Amino acid sequence: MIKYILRRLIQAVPTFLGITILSYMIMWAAPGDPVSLMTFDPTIKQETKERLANALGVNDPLPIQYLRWLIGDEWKVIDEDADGVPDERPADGLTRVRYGILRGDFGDSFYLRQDALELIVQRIPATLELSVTALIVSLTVGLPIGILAAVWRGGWFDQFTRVGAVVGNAVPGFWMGIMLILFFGAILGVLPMGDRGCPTRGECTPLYMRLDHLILPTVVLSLGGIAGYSRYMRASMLEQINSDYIRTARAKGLPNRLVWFKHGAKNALIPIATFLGPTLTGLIGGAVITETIFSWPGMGRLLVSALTRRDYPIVMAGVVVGSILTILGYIISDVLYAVVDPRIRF
Amino acid sequence: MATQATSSSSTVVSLGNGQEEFVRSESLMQKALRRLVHDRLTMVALGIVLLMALLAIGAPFISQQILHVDYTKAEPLKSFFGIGENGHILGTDDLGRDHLARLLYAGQVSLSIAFFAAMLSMTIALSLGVTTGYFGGIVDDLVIWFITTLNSIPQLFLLLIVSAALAPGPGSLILILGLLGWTGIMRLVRGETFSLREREFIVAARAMGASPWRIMFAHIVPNLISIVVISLAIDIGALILVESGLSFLGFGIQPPIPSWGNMLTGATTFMRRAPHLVIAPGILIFITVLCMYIIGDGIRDAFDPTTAD
Repeated sequence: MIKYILRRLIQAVPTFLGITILSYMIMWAAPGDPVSLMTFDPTIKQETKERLANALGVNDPLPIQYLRWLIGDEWKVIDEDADGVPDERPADGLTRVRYGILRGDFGDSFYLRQDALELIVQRIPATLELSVTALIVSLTVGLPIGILAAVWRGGWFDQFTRVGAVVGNAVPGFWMGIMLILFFGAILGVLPMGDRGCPTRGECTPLYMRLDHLILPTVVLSLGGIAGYSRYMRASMLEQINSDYIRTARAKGLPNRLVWFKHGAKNALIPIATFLGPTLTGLIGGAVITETIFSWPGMGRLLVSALTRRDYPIVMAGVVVGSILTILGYIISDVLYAVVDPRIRF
Repeated sequence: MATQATSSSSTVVSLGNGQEEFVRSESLMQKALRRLVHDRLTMVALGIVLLMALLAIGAPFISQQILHVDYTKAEPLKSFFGIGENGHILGTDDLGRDHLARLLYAGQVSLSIAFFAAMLSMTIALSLGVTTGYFGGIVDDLVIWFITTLNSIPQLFLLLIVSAALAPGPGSLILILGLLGWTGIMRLVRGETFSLREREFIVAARAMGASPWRIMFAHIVPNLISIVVISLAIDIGALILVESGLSFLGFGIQPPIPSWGNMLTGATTFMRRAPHLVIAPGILIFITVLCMYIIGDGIRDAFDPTTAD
């Protein structure tokens, strides 16, 4: 078991490196020169600019820049005055020593002048609060729908949920969010129009006290999951219903309810475990749009605002953290599959 | 004279009295087409999509000759007209531009981006999927590693950073969506090629000395037609959603070029004052995507040999 998890973690290393290369190259191609973005000062002297550019290493070849970003740059000697003695690097946030993203140093945000990773990590609880709720809702609503649709195959419930799933997949999430805000927030005024319901400063109140803030974003974010899970579960359940052991159980006179919900549904759940990884990815991506519409102070919204301001350290931290969460999601879903399916041996 | 096959799709049947008659047996393609034509829901969806495309293509004619408006001209005095007010069928937006005309032009942008991006990603998926599936080996491993990497970055994050980096117009957005969206279909095609490769007719073709390229183009690709068409329909729908989402966030199509997504961005600010500005673009996105999904489902059923006629 431990061996299996370890193997999956080791397999994730080349994937992670690929992600860092890919995202670094994209950001490198992006417009905007970090020196002018960081200094923000039109009257800056040319020599100051050059010194800064040299310290930041923006004139180095791309592979070197990537390496510095990945593993840090204490090894790089900066010697402006060419006296053979390395220059002292001030700890001013602009030209300080970098430790590289592998040691958690994504640099400082260009605008907020704070550690980029820390800013992203601060937002993770809000994002998790929303996506975990959406995941729970998707499962608790989607799975029973799938089971019932399979049990009543061809009946009105099956037809109705089938149409519902197609419709649920086709509704643009951001538009539905806007419509819900318009209807429940602006016209009826029964639910808040956005925000997490926390004070701007200080500790956040416990979740059960601000459930009303959670309702609309959860509906929007879980819609796709409900549609997906109900269809997967229906297909998986149908496979079980048509298998021999179910026929045997029914032939022995067990009541249908017991056979379907106790025997069938349990086994039908096994393949569903593999959908957990893709669902998590979908939730993290979907949260970007949902958080933006509902002014939810999570990672996705920070990423969008950082992109608009070309605040690249935050963007890179957001992309890398989002990807790590995704890889972990896939590993968890694979391990879970191996745990729930007794036919799989490690 | 006994029954004799002359080609794969027609048979010469001896009628016993010396006369012979050609009886055409249906190919899978013909069968699927016949079923499709009789599937009313799919035909309605297809009709709606064609109507949308026609309206979008005819946008210049409709707005000039029928509506008599210029969709780019801002007239602050005419802003926020309601539905039907002063001859503006769907009212005007915050800058006084006719909403219906802008929706039609936005349809041009949104539909063509989704269509061409889907065609591009399908071309990549099909060529890469068939070759890696057929040859396997190190190239296959490399491509699979690349796909795993690409899929490990949440799709929207990836699209966001690429669009932010390149600040795309409609043309480059097609490239971005097409070049980043082929992984799912490629896996399908690759898997199907894997299983086709071991089938008897391919083995027979190989035994007769057919070159790998001939086997791929003449024998494998025709058997992938159903997958390709189904995925294309669903992909176009999904890409309309992706494009409108990106444009809504401000990283896709930039105003003043209208797209259904970026029309919503502006409209949300005036949600209470002019709800119709928010409702209309969303409904168009929803209906188009829904129709594309229904068409995809319909084609799947039509090609499915297990469904009864």
